[in-house]
Amino acid sequence: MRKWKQAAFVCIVSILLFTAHHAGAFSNQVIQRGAEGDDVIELQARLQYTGYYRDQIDGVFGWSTYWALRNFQESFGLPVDGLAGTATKRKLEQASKYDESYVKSQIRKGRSFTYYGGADTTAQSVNSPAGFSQNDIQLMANAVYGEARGEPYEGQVAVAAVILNRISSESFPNTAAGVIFEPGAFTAVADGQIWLTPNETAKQAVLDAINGWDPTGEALYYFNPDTATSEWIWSRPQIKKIGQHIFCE
Amino acid sequence: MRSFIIAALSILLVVTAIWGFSQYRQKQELFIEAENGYQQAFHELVYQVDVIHDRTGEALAMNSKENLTPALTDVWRLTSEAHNAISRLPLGFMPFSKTEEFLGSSGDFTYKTAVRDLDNEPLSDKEYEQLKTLYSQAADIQKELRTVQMSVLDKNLRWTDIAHATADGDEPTDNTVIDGFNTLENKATEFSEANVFEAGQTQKTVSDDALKRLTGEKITKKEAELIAKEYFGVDPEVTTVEKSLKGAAIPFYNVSVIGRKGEEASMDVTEKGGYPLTFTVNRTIEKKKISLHDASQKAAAFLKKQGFDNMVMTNSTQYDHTGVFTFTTKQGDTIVYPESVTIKTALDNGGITGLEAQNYWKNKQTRQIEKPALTPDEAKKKLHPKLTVMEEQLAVVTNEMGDDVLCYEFLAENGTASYRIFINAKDGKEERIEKLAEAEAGY
Repeated sequence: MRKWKQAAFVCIVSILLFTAHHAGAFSNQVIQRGAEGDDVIELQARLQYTGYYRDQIDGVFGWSTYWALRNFQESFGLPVDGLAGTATKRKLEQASKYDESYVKSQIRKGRSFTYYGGADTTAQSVNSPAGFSQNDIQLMANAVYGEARGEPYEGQVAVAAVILNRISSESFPNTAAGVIFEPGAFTAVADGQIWLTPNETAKQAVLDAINGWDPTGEALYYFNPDTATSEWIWSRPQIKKIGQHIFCE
Repeated sequence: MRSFIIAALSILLVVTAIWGFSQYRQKQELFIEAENGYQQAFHELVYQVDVIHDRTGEALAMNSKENLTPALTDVWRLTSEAHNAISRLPLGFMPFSKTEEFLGSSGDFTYKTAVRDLDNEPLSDKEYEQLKTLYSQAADIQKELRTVQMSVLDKNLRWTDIAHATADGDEPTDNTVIDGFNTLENKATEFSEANVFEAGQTQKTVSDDALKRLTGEKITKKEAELIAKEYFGVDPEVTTVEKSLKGAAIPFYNVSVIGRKGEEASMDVTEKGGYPLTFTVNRTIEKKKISLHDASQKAAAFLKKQGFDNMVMTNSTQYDHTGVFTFTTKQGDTIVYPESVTIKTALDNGGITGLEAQNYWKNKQTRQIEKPALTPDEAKKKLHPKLTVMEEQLAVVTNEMGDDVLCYEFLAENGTASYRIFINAKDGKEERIEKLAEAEAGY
């Protein structure tokens, strides 16, 4: 019987300790604009509690979180740098309450909630590069995987870069879908390999290309010299060979 | 027994025949569907070029500015639609880029003239000439397209046949379409060589000239390997070193290395001077251990060590377990946006997993930055009154004409969205405005 009591006591204490620990759950990191994750959820929730943040709690440190943080820093006499460092986090913890499990369960359900100043949570967001949605990235990853899955990583980034170079070129359509589905432009589209499920590497390659990486030196075309049927393609100025593909202007 | 087999086989035969026939019908249906799509695109294209021709003709005769603007806008819209129609045709087998380029630059030209206040700034003599050339070129294209259209209708030519024949590398049985489009392309090449739309032509984003001006000694293959190894960090094994091909903006070495744990990495280093152009590492990044902030400081330190001086961070974003940062040259108190590099850091061990510096080298130069003519407050008056300015600084940006201009950069918000706005520090012109991207909700 005493053993049971002891066990129960230990249990309760550890639960208390656990929740107490979570009351100030910020990890040690300095939180910077662009960050994702639990610390950002807490930062947004606390900023919302204090009335500085009015947008959705989505776990991504975007511009509206950045402005909220700067306004908070200004009103609380902290250096206004838009970084959540030790001093800022301590001030925030003093000025607000944070019920981690509640906020997170709402986020997981993707449900609106009105606990903190009336703003909504949404399902956890992700950073996506300017001008491209997650679906655009997925479509391009499909194209890259279908066209270049056996190629080295650099060759996959290169195929994605060619798609992007075409989008910004006058001679091609202006959207990812337009470029990819242009009849005859990509063999993977013609033979249906574009509908294979792409792996992480292909997605990573697309993300790199969108973020500015262009291993092709602004190429608009590429071809496999062993299988190319068009003579015209050989007349293009060639920039670089990556894996099986020659990239050209 | 025998009769049973015969019966079973004949049932099987009938079933197969029915199945085969329905397959054939389905195939025909799909075939016709695809063909109809191509036909629609082609006939639309011909129609749109017809109207481009008519409308430019009308615009030439117009004296009133009120009518000129709608006519030009119409041409602009039609060029874009014609462009779209071409991209739906199965022309991937043949070069057709010059015609598209022609449509693109005509679109730019008409757009720029249409949005301009023609009361204040009427068409110049040169622009009038350009409009005239556009008119006659549209006539040429129209004629060619009509010829093709005629034979397509006359001989019942099918685009699907042409596409299939050329995809297999065979000569199509009837060459009218291909010949017609080839003539068109040759004509368009003449136009673009004549450089009619010099003023309206959008240049390549950045010219390669600055790359060619990079100074330094020519490096050897061995030296290129050493540079790549240094970027990679831990001593990797070099797998290949290839020289760039003839069409590259400047000659470079492409070095591929492989690390101890199978990480692949590759890097382009210029032959002259050994400047890093682009560098990527591909490896599985483990659980996040360091913060985005620490990662950005590692990236800053790395750039400094590699000789990129006076750079400040202008953007930072976390994608899963990778931090992506933009660093930009800061000269005095002015940010020089054209001179930016992008760098990637793994959030598991803080290692650098990528650097992209091609645009940096294309824009790098010693700049004389003049004093701004406007004060920050004067520039701020040019902003929309509903915007709250959160941050301001001086910045050099490349404007639509491709010139680098000194601007006041304002980060502002209006309660629902955030904006980055560049106001020319000399004349107060709104050079560029961007809506700043927010995170995309997960679905």
